[in-house]
Amino acid sequence: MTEPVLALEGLTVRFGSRRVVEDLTLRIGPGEVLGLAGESGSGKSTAALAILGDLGPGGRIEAGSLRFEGRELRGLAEREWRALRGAGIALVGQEPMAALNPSMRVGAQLAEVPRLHGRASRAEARAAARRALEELRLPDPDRMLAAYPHQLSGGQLQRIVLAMALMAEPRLLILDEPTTALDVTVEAEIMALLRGIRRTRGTAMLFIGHDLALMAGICDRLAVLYAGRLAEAGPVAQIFERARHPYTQALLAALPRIYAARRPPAPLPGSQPLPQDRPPGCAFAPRCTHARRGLCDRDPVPLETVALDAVVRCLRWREIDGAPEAAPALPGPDIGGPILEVEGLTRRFGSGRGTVHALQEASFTAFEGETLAIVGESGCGKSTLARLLMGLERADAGTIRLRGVEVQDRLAGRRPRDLTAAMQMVFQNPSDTLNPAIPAGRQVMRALELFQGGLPARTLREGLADLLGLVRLSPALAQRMPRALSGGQRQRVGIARALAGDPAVLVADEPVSALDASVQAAVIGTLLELQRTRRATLLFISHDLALVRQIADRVMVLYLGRIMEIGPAHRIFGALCHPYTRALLDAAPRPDPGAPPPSPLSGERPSALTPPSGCPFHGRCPRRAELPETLCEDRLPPLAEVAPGHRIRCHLPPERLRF
Amino acid sequence: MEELGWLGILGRMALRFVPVWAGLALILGLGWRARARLGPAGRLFGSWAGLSGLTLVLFWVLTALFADLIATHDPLAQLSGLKNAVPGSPAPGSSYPVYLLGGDSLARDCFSRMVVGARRVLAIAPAATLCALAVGMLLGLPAGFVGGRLDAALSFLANLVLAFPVILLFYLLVTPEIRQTALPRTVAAVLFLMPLLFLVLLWHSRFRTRAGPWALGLAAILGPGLWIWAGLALDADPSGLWRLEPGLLTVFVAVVFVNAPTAFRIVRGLALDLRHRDYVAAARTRGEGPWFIMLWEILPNARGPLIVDACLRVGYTTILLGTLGFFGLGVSPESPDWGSTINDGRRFLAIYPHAAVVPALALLSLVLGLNLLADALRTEARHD
Ligand SMILES: Nc1ncnc2c1ncn2[C@@H]1O[C@H](COP(=O)(O)OP(=O)(O)OP(=O)(O)O)[C@@H](O)[C@H]1O
Ligand code: SF4
Ligand code: SF4
Ligand SMILES: [Mg+2]
Repeated sequence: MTEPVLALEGLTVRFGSRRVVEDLTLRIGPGEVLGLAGESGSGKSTAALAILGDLGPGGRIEAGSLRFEGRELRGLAEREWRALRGAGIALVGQEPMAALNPSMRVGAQLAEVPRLHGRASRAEARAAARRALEELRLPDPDRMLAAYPHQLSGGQLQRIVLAMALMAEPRLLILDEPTTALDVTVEAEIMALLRGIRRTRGTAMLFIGHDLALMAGICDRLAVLYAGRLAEAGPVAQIFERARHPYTQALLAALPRIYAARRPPAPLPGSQPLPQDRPPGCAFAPRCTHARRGLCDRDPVPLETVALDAVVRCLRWREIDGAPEAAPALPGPDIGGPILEVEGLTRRFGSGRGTVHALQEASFTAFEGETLAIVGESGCGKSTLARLLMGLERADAGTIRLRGVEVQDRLAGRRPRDLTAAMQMVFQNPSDTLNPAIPAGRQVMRALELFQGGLPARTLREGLADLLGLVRLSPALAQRMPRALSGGQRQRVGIARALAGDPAVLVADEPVSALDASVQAAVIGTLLELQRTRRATLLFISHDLALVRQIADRVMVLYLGRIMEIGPAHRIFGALCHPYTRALLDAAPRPDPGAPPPSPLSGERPSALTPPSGCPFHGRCPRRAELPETLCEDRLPPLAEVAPGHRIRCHLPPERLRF
Repeated sequence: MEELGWLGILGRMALRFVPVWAGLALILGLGWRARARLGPAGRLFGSWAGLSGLTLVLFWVLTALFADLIATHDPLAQLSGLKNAVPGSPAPGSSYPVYLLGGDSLARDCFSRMVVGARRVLAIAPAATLCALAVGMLLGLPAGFVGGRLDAALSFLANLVLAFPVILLFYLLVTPEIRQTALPRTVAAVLFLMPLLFLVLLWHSRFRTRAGPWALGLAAILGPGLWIWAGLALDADPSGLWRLEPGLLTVFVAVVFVNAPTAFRIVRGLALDLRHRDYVAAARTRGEGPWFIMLWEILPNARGPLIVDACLRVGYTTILLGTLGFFGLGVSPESPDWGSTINDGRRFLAIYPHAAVVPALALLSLVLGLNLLADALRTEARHD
């Protein structure tokens, strides 16, 4: 057997009195990509830092061994670590900006690498930097080399950081959620690059992430971490086909699947315990549907080898069979009349360098009881639309009619109480949606007080308990300060607060994008259930197409402030769609190791400051060559109806947009 | 009775401070036991600076509280023969056998003057700071939250006041011609109205939807509030319970006036930073008015930095009061406040330093305590 590039043996890391990583055993062979999956707080980043010898003052390796190419790294001096980082092991993190010096040109920073590690001459170093950028298919490398980091987009920066890491020719590349901060389309691009690097260079990689669908596309083997311990590890195909650990099974069931039946992802109740309150016995027991009293909650569960190269930490894996029950399919929506009508809504932001057209002439209608998803890349105007609807900003033109009443000229606070209560919003950021200085329950109570004005305190308290029950929170949590709640719990409190006035329209701006997959499924489930039982309209803003596919009745696609397409979900995902929608679909990762890799969309997204003439998508559109000469550049296509309720903004005739 | 040596002086002083020691022991002990439940304040007990800051400040607060028990003599009484007496001089035929820290140039007891002076300082400085903070919050919150032209106008005003030389302002305020005009009273009337207005807005924005508590609360605020305000600012309290001597009023106005713009700036900056949070947007979308958002959504999240600032500001104000006293400003000439006492003592500084050094050390230790406390609170807030 060949020597592994990296071998961890019973690695235990502790921060103060808390064991963050316990008994971690992993090996990465030459040219192999190992995925380390886990939700936030499971210890995956700590493991990466331990491998890089960069735990910081509070942390230390308590037990175990850490071998890189056969050499024990535990107890290495700081100087030796420094020599190893970069040349032997390189890290690409979540935030590309953090890895670059903001006041130095990109070229100079890249050229430093060969000069540090290989004593190359200045000219050689520059040439190497250029070659590295070309290898990563960055357009116009000379311009990039001369640019400062802040002049580049997130995707470009991430590629530059990757180029920098690769220039040192490391034997192991650690990727810590390298695409979390990026759009789906850019993410697909980076993933394609990583697959290319792996093919051509054979660099071993440790890919850390929480998105199993994304990891399915690149990893050979997968290790699932739960509460600091390995829950399961094995070849990726085997795990996707037949996960043995109940936690892995739940994670897989919680994954939205883009080409699956229309049903919400299956939720996993509860949340991961903090290091200090991990239960004795199996750490997953409190959330495990297969847990047996007196068995699972007694002694720590050992890691068991279950097949060639596959291990699982579960006492009952032999008896547990297959995946957990999938959530029941969503019933068909009970759609009523129009409730929210938007006509020609436009919002421009003037800035020093020009005007950003955040939203241009958006017109659509939302109906009672439906889920209308709004999708698009970052900066396409999704949040702007939400803020305009809510009256947080004033529109430059256009009308918004809620229940037939024009509200576009009334900012929030100026709208009559019944209309305010009729449309409420759920916010994106769980750490910001609740006021950190006020107990969670009081914030919901205040909304009740406003919307159900004049009720006695007793009734209000009952109302609060009801609302918390609706979003499946124990009433005891009402006393807690928001920082004592988990992200998922905070989002639920935010939903309860929005529900206080019994809204007819619920605007949710990426309500789950900051949450872990299993928690995400639970929050989505809550939202959908409420929506169905109360017959509210849900405007669901998201960039996750797989999720949208599973829950939306209709979909609206925005690009650079324009509606490109709007129509029933089953048609858009199944019959025909706009070339841009198609590109988004193709870029979405699929939770299936056997599937063909997602194909990225080429070209950079144009800046909203200089929107292209004609069809806004023409610079990146793979189909524009099919149309005569400069039609797409010159004329903005109309949002034309291709079937009842399905409108597409493209010059191509509908029959050529079929799948 | 013999002249006391330093050991004797210290011993007797320690004995006089017994009520303070008892209070300190009680408060620190209780605080220590409850520190886990006190949040950031509880964590002060974990840091050396926080604990010493807290102890120093508490020491002076308790001294002010128990001043009547601690002081050995009437701070204004003069004993013949004890003019500029050295520390530990016997004081026969008086309420206490010695002048523990000596006598001043008017033969008054330095120790008692220091103790009673603490009461003066600790009554004015926090009150003036609160007043300045109220002004800063009432103007700074809308400036930061609403922004635009309102912000520009208010910031300009603040800069105007800041650009005015403080010393000149003080000299103007002592000028009899100005003191005789209605100017100090008018300014005082406006400034003192601010805390009241603050409380009214606080209550109104929160309870406007509930008529019962709304009316009850407003009555509870406005009744005593207006009474105190009329007494302090207009000298129109029929019962005579609330009044400020004109000199003190001037000092108060001066102190609030110079503190308000910097308080304004801090509050404005915090509001500017917090106004884009999602919870503020959530409050707006459920139809909250601007004052509710400013006072109940933004302000509670700004309280950490504001408390730190208040600590520093009380210290600064204490020094300012000292400076004012040093100029002979405001407080009656006999007043035992530390600034005036230092000023009185400075003439004989070379020969009899104790009369000036005693209040100077008192001032120093109080300000040091406040700064230590502010520093520790700031560190704690950063860890949160
Ligand atoms: N207050 C503002 N001032 C200036 N420009 C703004 C402002 N708010 C938004 N924009 C610009 O308007 C455009 C649309 O922004 P918006 O926040 O609606 O995008 P989004 O689709 O929600 O993106 P994301 O997915 O990143 O949340 C962007 O180009 C953005 O930079
Ligand atoms: S050991 Fe028990 S509790 Fe843990 S995962 Fe297996 S069945 Fe569930
Ligand atoms: S109009 Fe042209 S550029 Fe635009 S989407 Fe259609 S084919 Fe592509
Ligand atoms: Mg957004």
